[in-house]
Amino acid sequence: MNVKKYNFPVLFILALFVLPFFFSSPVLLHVLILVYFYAFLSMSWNILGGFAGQLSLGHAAYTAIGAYLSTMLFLRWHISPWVTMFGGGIGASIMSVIIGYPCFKLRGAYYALSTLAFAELVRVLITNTDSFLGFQINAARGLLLPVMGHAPGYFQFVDKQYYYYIILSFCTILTIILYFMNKFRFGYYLAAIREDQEAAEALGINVTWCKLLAGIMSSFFTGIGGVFYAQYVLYISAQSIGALHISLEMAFISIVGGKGTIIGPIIGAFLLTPLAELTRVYLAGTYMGMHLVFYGGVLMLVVKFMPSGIIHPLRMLYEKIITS
Amino acid sequence: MDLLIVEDLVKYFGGLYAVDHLSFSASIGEVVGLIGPNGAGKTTVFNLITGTYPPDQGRIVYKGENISGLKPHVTCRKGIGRTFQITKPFGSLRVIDNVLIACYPKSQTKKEAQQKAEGLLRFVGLYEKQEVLAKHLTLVERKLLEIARALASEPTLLLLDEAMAGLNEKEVNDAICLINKIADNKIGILVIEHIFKVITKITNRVIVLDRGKKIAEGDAENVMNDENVIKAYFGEDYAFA
Repeated sequence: MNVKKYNFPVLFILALFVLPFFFSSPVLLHVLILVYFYAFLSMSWNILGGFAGQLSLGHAAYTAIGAYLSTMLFLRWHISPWVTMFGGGIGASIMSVIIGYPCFKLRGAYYALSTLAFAELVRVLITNTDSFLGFQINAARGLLLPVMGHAPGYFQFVDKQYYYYIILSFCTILTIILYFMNKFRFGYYLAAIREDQEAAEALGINVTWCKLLAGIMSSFFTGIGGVFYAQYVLYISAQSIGALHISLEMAFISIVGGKGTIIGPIIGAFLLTPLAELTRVYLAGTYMGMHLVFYGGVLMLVVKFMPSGIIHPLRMLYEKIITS
Repeated sequence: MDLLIVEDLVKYFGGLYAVDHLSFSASIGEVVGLIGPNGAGKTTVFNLITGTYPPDQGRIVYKGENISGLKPHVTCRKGIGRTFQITKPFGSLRVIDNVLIACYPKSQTKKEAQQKAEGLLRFVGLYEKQEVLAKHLTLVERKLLEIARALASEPTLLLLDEAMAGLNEKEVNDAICLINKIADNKIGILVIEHIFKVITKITNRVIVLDRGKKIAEGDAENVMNDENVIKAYFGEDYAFA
């Protein structure tokens, strides 16, 4: 085991943890929070989309369900989002089984399209439903969370630093989980399914079950990501959290960074999210959705010149540096 | 007792009978050859036994248990291992990981699976290549990797689908040695093969298929001289030549 190989990633994470002590500009923190938020979502997406190789374009359904579920429970019974966060994740997981069971029989583009259709279905349902089982969800107007000031017990803070640390910890925990997943049985099974489903089956791997489990894990963390968004922005609507562009961004970031790798989505998020923020700041007034055009451009370049993501040239460079 | 009994098996795709009322059996310690012209339904028989498709009619009995319609991952765990005619390596994974994955379902720990995988790579002669990515292997190495992965499931019934197609003379001889090493008194083997030399050297018994039907059965020499078999391979005109 090469210890040196892990020095840089560990130092990098430590550096991110101490960064707010030196730079506390809210703009910088906001951009970094968004970077981590998208990195977290993309890492979650990557479990199903990358490691298991099932290109899902419907993960916005899970962020929406996570965010709505926790917010509904909070508004109705004042249950702390720290608790309902898990409810949101579990709700998203249940949805993933409902979507996954019929869709996993499909391959490639057909699978991608059917997940996309399911996510749109969820978005349209939320947009047109005023109350659901007695919960007020306000259709297209969206849900506003009450501002409670500094309330750590209720996942609300005045200072951005707290959100910074929360989402950074989420990312770190997920990275560790993925690292161990990849080292053991389940990670290997997913790799086999990604490479050749028929061969995986012939070797005794229960493909349907593995895909469902990957979907459950993936949507659970995506749902938790949705809850974080709700607590950070304090306003959710089907347009903001359940829209197609959320699904696409998760997939883009992973593919550009390197899908099926642990670090890929993190690199992708560091590259694409600030780019998106800059285009939003400078061009949003005149050109709406310009950042998606940039995403598209970067995606085309990456697919053309680095089909397995930016991570691969970077990794080779890194290995050269540590071995020299 | 027969290891595998196939009874009145039928599979059609649309109106085409790929397997047409086929019955045969194989027992432990036996190497049975499955031959026939292209499109005779040999690979379909393998796909039916492993459960890739459910049969439309008939039964497949393995170790006294009806396994027709069970999924491939279930039949594999019951001890039916197979190789694919067109090799299906996990290309972007290392050779050792390819075999490790195959060992996992029958192992408790990663260490156990790793030891088994290394043993299998030694057995088929790919130990030196274990760090190589599977997509960089040559054809013969891919075929060996297929065999190693099929053996990883500790099969009692091994199905080899053209494991030697495309190999040169020396490679074929090595492969024959390997299969003779695998064949012992604990395992039954079904082989699909076109190379005549291989059939005569490794099989105890040959079943000839044509358009899904069994047209001959017996030892290799007799079957090759059978009138129906000559017709099936070369056409009517050659029948009494």
